Amino acid sequence: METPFDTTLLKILGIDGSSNIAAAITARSDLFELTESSYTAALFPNDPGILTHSQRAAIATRICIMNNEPELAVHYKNLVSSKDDLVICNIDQSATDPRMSAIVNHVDVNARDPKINPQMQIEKLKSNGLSDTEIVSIFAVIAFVSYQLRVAKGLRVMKEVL
Amino acid sequence: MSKQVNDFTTTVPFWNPFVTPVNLQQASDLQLEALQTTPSNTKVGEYVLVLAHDPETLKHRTPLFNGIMYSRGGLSRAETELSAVATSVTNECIYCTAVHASRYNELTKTTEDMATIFNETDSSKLEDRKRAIYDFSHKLSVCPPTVAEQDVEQLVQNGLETDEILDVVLSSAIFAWANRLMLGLGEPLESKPTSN
Repeated sequence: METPFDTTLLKILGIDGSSNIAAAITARSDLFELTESSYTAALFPNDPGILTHSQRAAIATRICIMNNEPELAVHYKNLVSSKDDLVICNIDQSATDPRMSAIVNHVDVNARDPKINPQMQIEKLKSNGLSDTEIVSIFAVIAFVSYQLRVAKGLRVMKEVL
Repeated sequence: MSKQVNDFTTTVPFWNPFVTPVNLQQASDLQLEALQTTPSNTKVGEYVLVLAHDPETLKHRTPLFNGIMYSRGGLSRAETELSAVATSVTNECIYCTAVHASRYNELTKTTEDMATIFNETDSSKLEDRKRAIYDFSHKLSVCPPTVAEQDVEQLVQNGLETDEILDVVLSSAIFAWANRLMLGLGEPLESKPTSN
């Protein structure tokens, strides 16, 4: 990666080296590169474990929609490669498979309001057969996307004003 | 049995995980590599050992967190902590609030701002510049975020430069990440339980 403007997030936002906030971004190049490597690790891990790359993209789409972040939502929906996963993108629906339905329910709670009954949420995932490693990997997707979409929101309002 | 901490405090609680941390003696090479840097460069604690269940993400998350919180230049350390506190109070993460409110107090050598935030859970009695940082971070933290152009204008009117505003965005956003892990994967207790 040559510049922070080659990262996925800044390309989606249409922010390049000519932007009014480019100098501030360049001064934090290392953080945008780590945001990119975190994106790859959370959405496209070498070891996907319980969630396929397509399911991860569908969950990310769902989180972006519930946060009114349409540009990122479109990006993620285009990465949903299995049509079976498209139902996860719809925030008014859940998955039909009980295990995935439990995961989607957890995504909704943790992304919207993470203080809600966290121990009960973990117990529900465990009762659906998820291991500790699988549970932590689901959190990794939710938490990363919750970060990324807020960087996007912040940069967008900065770009408009500065 | 140790009691759960339910009120905001600057006394850092014990974080009790809901899932079993990775056993360091049995960690894979990938996990050991991801554990080489710990958040805030502290010793390897239970939180990091829980996150080591997903070493691919942890490997990048930790240097990102440390870079946002401790990089030189841009926003002051204290104001970076203030943004972290605003997000953690918004999400009601008792543990993260305690860690970063206590750091804010150490850096500013004051306790009034955190006492005000804890008592009022709003920013109305903070000085203007602090209130602008707090409000921006709060509005970026809710779901869906409500931050808007006038919130950036408030930061500008209170003297923040573009690089400082970017640091407010990054500090608040990284706590959207951290709070979801801390709140979801464990609980704040008054002390370490004697038996688990």
